[in-house]
Amino acid sequence: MKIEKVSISTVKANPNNPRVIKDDKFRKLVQSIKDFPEMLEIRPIVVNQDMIVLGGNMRLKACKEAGLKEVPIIHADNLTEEQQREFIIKDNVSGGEWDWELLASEWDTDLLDEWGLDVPVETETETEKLSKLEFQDVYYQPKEEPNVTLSECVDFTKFHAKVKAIEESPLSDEQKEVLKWFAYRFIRINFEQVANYYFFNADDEEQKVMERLRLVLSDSGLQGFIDDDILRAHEYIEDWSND
Amino acid sequence: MIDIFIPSYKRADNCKTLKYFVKIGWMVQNLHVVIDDQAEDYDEYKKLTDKVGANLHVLSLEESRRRFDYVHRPSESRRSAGQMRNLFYDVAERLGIEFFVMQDDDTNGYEIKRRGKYHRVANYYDIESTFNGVKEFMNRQRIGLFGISQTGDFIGGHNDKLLRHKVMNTTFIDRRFLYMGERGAPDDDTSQFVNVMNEGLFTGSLGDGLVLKQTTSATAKGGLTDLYNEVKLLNKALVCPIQFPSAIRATRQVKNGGRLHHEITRKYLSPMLIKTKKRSNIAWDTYPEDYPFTLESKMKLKE
Repeated sequence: MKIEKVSISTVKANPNNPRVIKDDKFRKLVQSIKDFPEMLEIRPIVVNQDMIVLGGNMRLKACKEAGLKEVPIIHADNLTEEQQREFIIKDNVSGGEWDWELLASEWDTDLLDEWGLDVPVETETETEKLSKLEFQDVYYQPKEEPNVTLSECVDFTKFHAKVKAIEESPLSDEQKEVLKWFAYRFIRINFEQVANYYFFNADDEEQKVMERLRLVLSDSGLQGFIDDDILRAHEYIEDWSND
Repeated sequence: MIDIFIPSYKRADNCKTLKYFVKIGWMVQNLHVVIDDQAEDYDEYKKLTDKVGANLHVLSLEESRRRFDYVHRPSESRRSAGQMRNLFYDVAERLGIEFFVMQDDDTNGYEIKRRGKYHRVANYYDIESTFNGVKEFMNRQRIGLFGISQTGDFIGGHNDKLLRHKVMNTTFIDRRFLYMGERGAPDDDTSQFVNVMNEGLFTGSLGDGLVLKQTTSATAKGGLTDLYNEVKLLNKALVCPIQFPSAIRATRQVKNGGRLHHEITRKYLSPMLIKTKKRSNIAWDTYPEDYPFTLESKMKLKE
């Protein structure tokens, strides 16, 4: 199918369009079209043989608001009426879910908001957040994952990106080498996965070195187990043992 | 009786922590209020501590600025005893105190929580026995730092073995295991705990039993409130994300006026505590490369 540019006045909004976009989100869409018009070329408005929009009603409205005279379209002429109805819905169904944690750590949330993504507003209190740090038990319970390797417990994504930035800089080789040391801060270790590996997959010699690197905190009860000590600290509270 | 150090700033007329411990009957000779040597309300603090018989220590702002790192270094315009906590270790040494508690100056009291639910107000015996229990625990396990959590509406269920990996305003310190660490000076705040945890040294706090009553110090006069409001908490919130970008990020709090705060993903920050039948590496002095325990910069020691 071929993308073509047509006069905006020839494209007709679909009266049966089930989607609406209002107020602030519409304003953001208009701004987004003004800022990044190339996006329309990549994702043109889909029309039927009567130039009625099947996909992109809100974009059409925003293009008009943005003052565009022409818009890129793509024809979907060979769809039956039933298929056209199906397309209108499926085009707007969002598959999958956003990984908000990843978005928050790897993207600029202000920009995401500006692009019209509903970034969840934080409503948790500090206490609620802190309480998520708790463990039900003092100890982590390692999970058996026979195929996990130690190298899989480390994520180098950000580290490599930083190193690339260093490599691409005009600095001397010596300066680059030194700066790379500092990029190690961006290596992410998944200590849960490390504990799983330590407990189930590492042999004794490897475990010893992992302990020495303090990749796990190993309580063998030599000084008494920590959980007993935690209980002991409560022992003399009046009426603690009463229900 | 365990000694309690209370860093205070502009709260001579309302040093809640001192009032509280005097009221419940803590021995006044074990209470230490600490201010900086440029505090304008020295006379008021002197009057306050003399009246109840507690100790007043005046520490040098200049020395604190000279010896400790830029993040925790008190500035002329925004000084506070709270940021001079590193010097308390010297005071403790001079007085022959090996184990002590560091407590903010806005303590309203303690409560007893059972499985996360409020049980009753804590009394003197609860506090003394729990403090002693923590001291014995730290001594036995050979760890330098532990804490008591601040109360709140904990979610997610509890059991009485609960240990929270975050410390609020009551900090226990064993001076034998002073922590300077690799990335900064101790400050008895989150940045210190995340440093300790990231290096794989065991620490934590009681999350149940004795807990600190939630304070409203964020809006109270004095303390670090003025500083936090002025800089929108940037100085505090961004320390940890800068130190540990792989595990901590800065987020904005909707409540508390949109201040920035640090959000920690624990599994990326510190090793897991597991029970084993083999060796133990809980003691901070298990391995010689983890010494010396000193307040001075390890880099400076090498020079």
